[in-house]
Amino acid sequence: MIKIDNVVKNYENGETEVKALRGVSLNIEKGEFTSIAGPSGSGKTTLLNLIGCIDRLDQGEITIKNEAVSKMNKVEKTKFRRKNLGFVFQTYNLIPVLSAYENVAFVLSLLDVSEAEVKQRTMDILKEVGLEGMENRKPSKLSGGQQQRVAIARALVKKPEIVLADEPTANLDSGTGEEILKLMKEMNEKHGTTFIFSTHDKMVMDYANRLVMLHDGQIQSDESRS
Amino acid sequence: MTLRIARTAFKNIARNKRRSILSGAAIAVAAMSIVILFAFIGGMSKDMENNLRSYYTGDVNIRNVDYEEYERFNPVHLTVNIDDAESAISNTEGINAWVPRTTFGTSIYIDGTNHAAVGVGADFEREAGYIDLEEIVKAGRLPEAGKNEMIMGTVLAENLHFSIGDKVTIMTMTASRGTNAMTLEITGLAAFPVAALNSNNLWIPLDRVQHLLQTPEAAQQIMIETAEGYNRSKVAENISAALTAAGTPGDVNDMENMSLMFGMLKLADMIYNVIAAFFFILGSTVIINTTMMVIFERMREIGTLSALGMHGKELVRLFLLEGAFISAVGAAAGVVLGIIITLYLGRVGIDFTDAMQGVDMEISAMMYPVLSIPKTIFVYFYSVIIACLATLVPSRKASRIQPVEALRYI
Repeated sequence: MIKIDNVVKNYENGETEVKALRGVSLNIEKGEFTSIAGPSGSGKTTLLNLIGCIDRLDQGEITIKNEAVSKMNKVEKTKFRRKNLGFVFQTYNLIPVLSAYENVAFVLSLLDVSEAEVKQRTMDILKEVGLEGMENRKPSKLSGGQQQRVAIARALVKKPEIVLADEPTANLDSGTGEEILKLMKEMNEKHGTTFIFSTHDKMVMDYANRLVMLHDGQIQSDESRS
Repeated sequence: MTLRIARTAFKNIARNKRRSILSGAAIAVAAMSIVILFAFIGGMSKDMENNLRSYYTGDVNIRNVDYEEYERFNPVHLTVNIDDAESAISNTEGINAWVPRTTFGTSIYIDGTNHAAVGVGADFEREAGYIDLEEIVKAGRLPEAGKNEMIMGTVLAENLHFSIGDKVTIMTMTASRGTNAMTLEITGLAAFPVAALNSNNLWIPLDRVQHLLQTPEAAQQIMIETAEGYNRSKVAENISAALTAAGTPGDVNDMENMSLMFGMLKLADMIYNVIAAFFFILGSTVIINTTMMVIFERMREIGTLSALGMHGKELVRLFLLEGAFISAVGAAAGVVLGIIITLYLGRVGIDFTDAMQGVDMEISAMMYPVLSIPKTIFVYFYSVIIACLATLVPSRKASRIQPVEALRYI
């Protein structure tokens, strides 16, 4: 489903060039629950951003669902993200002026979905993530865990085939973090959605079916777990 | 989709109410100022037009063909025959009323001292159909034809310590370049709307002025009021043609041709449109600044929306709508305030009496702003459009940022 072929990404940091990814190659199949782990600066967020089509690579190629996303222009990438990808951010990144319902519904309104369907799907997904009755709360009236649940609902409501989560539990206490992981795992199993998340948390790694370890921009290990 | 973006934009306005109010207030102040400015210019233009029509030139003016060339020498002998003018006027369409007038320089003799004044010979019977002299005469009555009577400007009377019933001797040069004098009784005091007229005008029956200046059956000028809907210059052309056809050519001009100031006022109207644009651009800098701050503050959000699949043009629309809401409300408030202030000033007037003392301009001392509905509507849309364009610049910049760069903002 996702084919990453010899990807290189360098950053300019002042006058120094940072080699974030040094020839990473990886294949991810549909329905996998994959963790990209490694210490800070290992390149895990960069890899996630490249898969998520929100950054440009310097060398190599990324193909998702047989489409060479790395060769797409900005508009094509936006269209691709809109239809196929869901995002969960470490800091939730909800729109503060919108309620939980509106934050989730907003994503569907970007697609060609009727108002009635937007309402139905939004209410269903909020119920699934355990936020029934909290639809009208603004993010500021929700706990960190609840905000991340809204973010997961927002990522899943359009039924994407891939959800990318950048350190989804880093801002949560261990109990809430585990709840979020269980929820993501449940969604992965229930909907067959491919989850790829970055982390450096041991507990999070333990939840993954596949663990890809990065070090200094290169894959150090790639192991499947049952 | 557009509706959802519009709703979000509307909600975003409430994020920082104080800043939104400040932006709206900047637009409101600009819109209000321009509404008042346009009303003031409109009032000034209308007032000047009224004064020119009533006291200086008329909508259309007939003079002797040589008058303009010798005007600076006070050529009282260069007159227009009233019967010839009447004949041409009666054959021309689009004329409401007309009056013959003779204006001449004169001296008021008081105890061996001469005081300069301006005499105006007027046919008071005919004037009744042209201007409301009864309204202007604040004390006493109008002079009667055939009698040595006059009305005097209130300021002139006060300066020279004259009152109703006093007899005044005036001296002037006649059409044959001799000197003549006449003693007239003051029957009334006139408060002309123009300060200059109040401080130097004496209005005397035309037949007495004809006798004084030795210009029988003639007047220095014929002032014509055109009927509504008729073009002044076209009427002037027709009268000129009629006079020429009758073998009594005259110098026929319309108001715009005769008053440099009036022509300048029309030009000023255009210049004020440019000033209005500068006002809005100035007001819009607050909007630009606010939008730039908002975009900077919401950079992560822009990144998030972009990652979720929002196109650059949709991001532009989001910020544009925020600017549009603020400017629409700000401009509406400014226009409403401008209308209220203009209507109030239009009722009570603005008193420029002190400022206009000694100023020789055809403008009244009391100014009444005139509200123009089309211009007010124009001001509203103009301010909204300029403010939206101001928002467009930073919004377009924000839409071009790579999502990953926007997400890195703290």
